[in-house]
Amino acid sequence: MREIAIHINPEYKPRVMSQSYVIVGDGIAGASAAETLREEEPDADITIITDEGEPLYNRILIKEFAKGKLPAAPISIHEESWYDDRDIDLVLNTLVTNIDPEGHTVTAHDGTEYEYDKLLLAIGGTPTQLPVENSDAEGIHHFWTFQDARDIKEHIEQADNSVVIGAGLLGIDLAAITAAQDVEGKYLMRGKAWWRYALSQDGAEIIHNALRERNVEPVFDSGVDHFEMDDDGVVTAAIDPNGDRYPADFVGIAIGLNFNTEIVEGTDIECDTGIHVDEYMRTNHDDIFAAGDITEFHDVILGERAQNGAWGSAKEQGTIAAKNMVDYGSEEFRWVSSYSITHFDFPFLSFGHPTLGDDSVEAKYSDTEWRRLAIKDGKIVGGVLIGDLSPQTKYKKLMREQVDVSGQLDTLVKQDFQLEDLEGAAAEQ
Amino acid sequence: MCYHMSSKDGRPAPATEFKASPAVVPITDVPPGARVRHFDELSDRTQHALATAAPSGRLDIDPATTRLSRGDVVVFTEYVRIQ
Repeated sequence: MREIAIHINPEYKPRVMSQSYVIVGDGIAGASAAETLREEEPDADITIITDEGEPLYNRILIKEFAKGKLPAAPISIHEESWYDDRDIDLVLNTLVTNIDPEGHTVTAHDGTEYEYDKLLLAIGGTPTQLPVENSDAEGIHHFWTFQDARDIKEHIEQADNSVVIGAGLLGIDLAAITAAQDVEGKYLMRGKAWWRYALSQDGAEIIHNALRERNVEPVFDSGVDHFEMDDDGVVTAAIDPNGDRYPADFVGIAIGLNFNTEIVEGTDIECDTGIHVDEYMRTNHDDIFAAGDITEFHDVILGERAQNGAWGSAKEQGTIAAKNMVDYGSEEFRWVSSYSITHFDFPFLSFGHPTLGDDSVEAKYSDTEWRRLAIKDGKIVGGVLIGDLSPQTKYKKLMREQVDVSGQLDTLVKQDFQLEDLEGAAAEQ
Repeated sequence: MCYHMSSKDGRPAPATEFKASPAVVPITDVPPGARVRHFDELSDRTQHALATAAPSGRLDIDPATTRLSRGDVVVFTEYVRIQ
């Protein structure tokens, strides 16, 4: 028998037929993924399907539009020509209702089927509805999309008094919108402080005072039991669980997001509150990835699953997902997110996971300057800075590099903290 | 009018864009055609420079690495324009 020698060139890379990528969602995660895919694979077929009626816009600027401070034009990020120029098919006003992981297809509400080699789910969330009587009355708004912002702006400009519900990062945007539009308001909170899971009373009080200065009155140990409306179905007041009545012809609700996991519920794609992905943004299916708000990702810094809705995080996740769709394992998602509030005279910035941790340290320096760091296993996992943002890069560096700061928490919150102030191993960073 | 996606904006501005360190000036109205960025879209380094800007408005940042271009508007605690 003849022997046949086979020589394998280690440099050889098999030619791959052009891939077909389908992205569901045209927020910043989906759009950044599409852009990266086009850069990585010039010949690939790329389709973006979105249920919204307009291409990518700047979600973190729509509050400025609703405040009446920013015109609509700068909110848009992509014209439809942006997609044409990159040979990306953009399908608007189309809701994906089904995924078939084995058949590698997704189906839209109108029955149209799209085939894919690799699929990215960047499907985000939907504002949580308040389950109380008359919560669907006219004049009650949720705040998530550009269209929401248009509706809010149109209404608030005519409003006389307002109620805002939701003591978190989205709720305060609504409160700031009522303030900017000079509409007297009540801000109903269930606890005794705004964002009570991340701020102490000292920190929250700075925000409360800033709201009061803008004619928005925080109301604590409150909330909504039901709404009253007139014969035309228009909201007239909010009644809180204590029976107190707050007249309002404008109501804004921001009590959280429900993540749009419905379309994966009939599949074996792993999900809980969001879709589970690894540090490469891949689900338990080799050809299905997810990015943005929808993901419960493996946070390599935190060492556990996490979710994050910040703009920068979503954009980075989209980019990382695309790179790994092309070449799995090429780059992991390693990111310290941040989120700022720019409604007041003083700056506010939260980073990482300020609501987590097993310990914390905080300090107040003045009526508008305060800091708190969340610590887990001796390491920084998040924080909130009010008034002075200058230490943020140092704290983020310590968090990113997982530096053990045990026993040095007081040093961390010195007003003029420098990395050189740390002792021992931490000082070597 | 052309608005660029943020990831494209991450590319350094041309070296000729700034002859000296960029500076910021407060504005009340957004000029037509200006590109508007929120503070959260900026890199950590640019955020730090903006948050610690000198009273003159001068940003302590290498002009060759900033993600901002002349004429950009940034939404911070006030609206500022890069020049």
